[in-house]
This record gives sequence, structure tokens and C-alpha cells, in this order.
Amino acid sequence: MKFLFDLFWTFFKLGAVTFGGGYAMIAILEDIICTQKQWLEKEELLDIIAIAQMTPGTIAINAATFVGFKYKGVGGAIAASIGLVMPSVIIVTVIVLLFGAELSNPLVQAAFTGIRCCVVALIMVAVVRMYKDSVKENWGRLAFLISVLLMVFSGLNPIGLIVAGAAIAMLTQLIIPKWFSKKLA
Amino acid sequence: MIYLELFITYFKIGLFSFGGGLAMLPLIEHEMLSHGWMTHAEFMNIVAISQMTPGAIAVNCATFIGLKVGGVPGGIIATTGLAMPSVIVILLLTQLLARIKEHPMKKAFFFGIKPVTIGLIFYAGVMVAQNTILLNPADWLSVDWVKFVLTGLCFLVLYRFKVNSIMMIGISGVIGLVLFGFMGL
Repeated sequence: MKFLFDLFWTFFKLGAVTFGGGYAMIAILEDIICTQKQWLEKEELLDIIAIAQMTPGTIAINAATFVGFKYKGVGGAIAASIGLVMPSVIIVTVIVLLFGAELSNPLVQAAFTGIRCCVVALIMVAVVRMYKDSVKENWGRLAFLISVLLMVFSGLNPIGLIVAGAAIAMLTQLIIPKWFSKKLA
Repeated sequence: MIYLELFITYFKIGLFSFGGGLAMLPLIEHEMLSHGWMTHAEFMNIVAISQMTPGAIAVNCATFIGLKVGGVPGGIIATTGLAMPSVIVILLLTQLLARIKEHPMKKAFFFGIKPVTIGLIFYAGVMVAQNTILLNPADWLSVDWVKFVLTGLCFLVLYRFKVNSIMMIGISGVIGLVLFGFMGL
């Protein structure tokens, strides 16, 4: 029960501070879940992000469900997911009830400009850490570079890129070597 | 029955949106307009507010629209509908992945998508930077140097000193308030 509450509370805090959606959240997930709580390896987090990209729904909810389930089964998955969305629901409800969907105060905007600068830094720190941890061979470096270039210059669908990366790895590591060994035998 | 309609609509949005947050927006807008729940201008307003409030953009949108259409219960029902497909799909998928634990195909699959995923996160960081640090997002030379330096400092502090990311977001919000609010930079 104590751990269930820890799951709920950790994801509640995550939900309360992640401005800028999905990818900004990944950076904070990496810090809180991998480095501080050590509930997941960085490699596992990357797997979840890739799965989340390919499955429907928001990345953060998918990650919360995954982490919660890993430690406490279905109950953990639900506790983590509810924890994650609850701050949004509360904050948005309060804003609408108080201000009626107006948030254009210049001081609020100024604070958010500062936060967005921090979000850029958070994402880049997460990228550097993940890259150092899981890209170790030339194939990985090349795949990283090509993915970035394709995203910047072609506006390709990210799901297509992920599927292509998986397909190339499966082909070069398993299918083609198997085919060759059959030919030679 | 407005609640059922909200639930079904958001369940559908949660089920058919791949790629998280921003990728969901066109689908959400289509559903909102076709139900006559809001106009394009109202939708854009809500997107802007969603990006300024913490939490996943899709969750914030769901709460907003649910509130507007059906009051507080509407907000909760729309958010639940949105999150439910993610939770179900991830629960099913983790069972499946646990069953095929050490299959070489699975290993090759995750080996292939890792560098691509890091590339996508990097690209997301570039996009946020574009909209934050540049005066004109389309012109890479129009750098706002105050924001650039603030971002660089955040990066250094986060990377070198392992400061808690949640605390860093709070600090940068205060710095933003001072720099861009009171000093008007």
C-alpha cells in the first residue's frame, strides 16, 4: 500500500510540473524515474518511449501505466496513471472556474518563457545522457544522425522512422545472416 | 446523453492518436468541430492554454472541453475516456512482451529503435528551442540572446550538478518572471 501511494505521488508530482507536453515529460521522467527512484533503466525507458510512440495515446500515460504495472500489477498501473492526470484535471478546472479560459497575464507569460528555456535544457540533458548510455556502436550513431536529419528536412512521420529502424536492425542482424548461412550450407 | 458522448469521443481520440501530444491535436479539433462543441478560434485558445499549464496537452484539452460541455463531471469523464485506451493497450502489450522475453527478434527490434527514439527526442528539443529562443521561429539567425544564455545556464546546472529537475523548473520560472516580466527583457 505504501509503495502504491509512492507510485501515485511520484506520478502526481510529474504531472504537476511537466509543461510543454510529451517530450519535456520524458526528460523529467528520466531524471525522477531512472536516476532518483531507479524504478527503470534508461534502456527500459527508451523501449517504453518507442512503444508509446507506436501505440495510441499520450506518451506520459503509457509510461505511467508501464512503470506502475511493472511494480504493482494492474492496481499499480491505475494508481500511476490517475496520479499523472490528476494535477492537470485539478489545475485546468481551477483555471476555468476562476478565469474562464483566460490566461494572458503578461507576468504569467514571463514565468512560462523562463520555464520553456529550462524545458529545452532538460530535453537536451536527457538526450545527452541517453545517447551516452545506449548508443555505443557506429550503426547507432549513424541511425541517430539520419533520424534527426530526416525529421528536420522531410517532416516524416515519427512512427515510420521507428518502424524503419526496427526493420533494418532485424534484417541486418537476423534475417540476412540466416539467409546467407542457408545459402552456404 | 452528453456524458456518454464525451466519453466515447475521447475514448476514440485516445485510441486513434499515435505519437503523443501534438500529433493528437488535428484529430481532437476534427472531433470538436464536428460535434459543434467549439469553434476553431476557441480550440486554438485552448491549445495555447494547454501548453502553458502542466501535464500532457491532450489531457488538458480533454479536461477543458469536458468542463465546457458538461461541467466538472464532464471534465473528469472526458479525461478518463482519453486515458483508458492507453492503459488497456499498454497492459496487454506488457503481457505480450513478457511472454516473448528473450526472443532474438525482440532484441533486434529494440536495438534498432533505440537510436531513432533518441533522435526523435532531440528533434523535439530543437522544436521547443525554435519556438522559445528564436524571435522568428523560421529564421535560425534571429536568436534572442537572453533566452539563449538562460537555456545554456540551465543545461550546465542540470548536467554538471544533477539538480532535481522539478526544482529547476521552479527556479527558471522565477528567473523568467524577473527577467522577462519585471525587467522587460
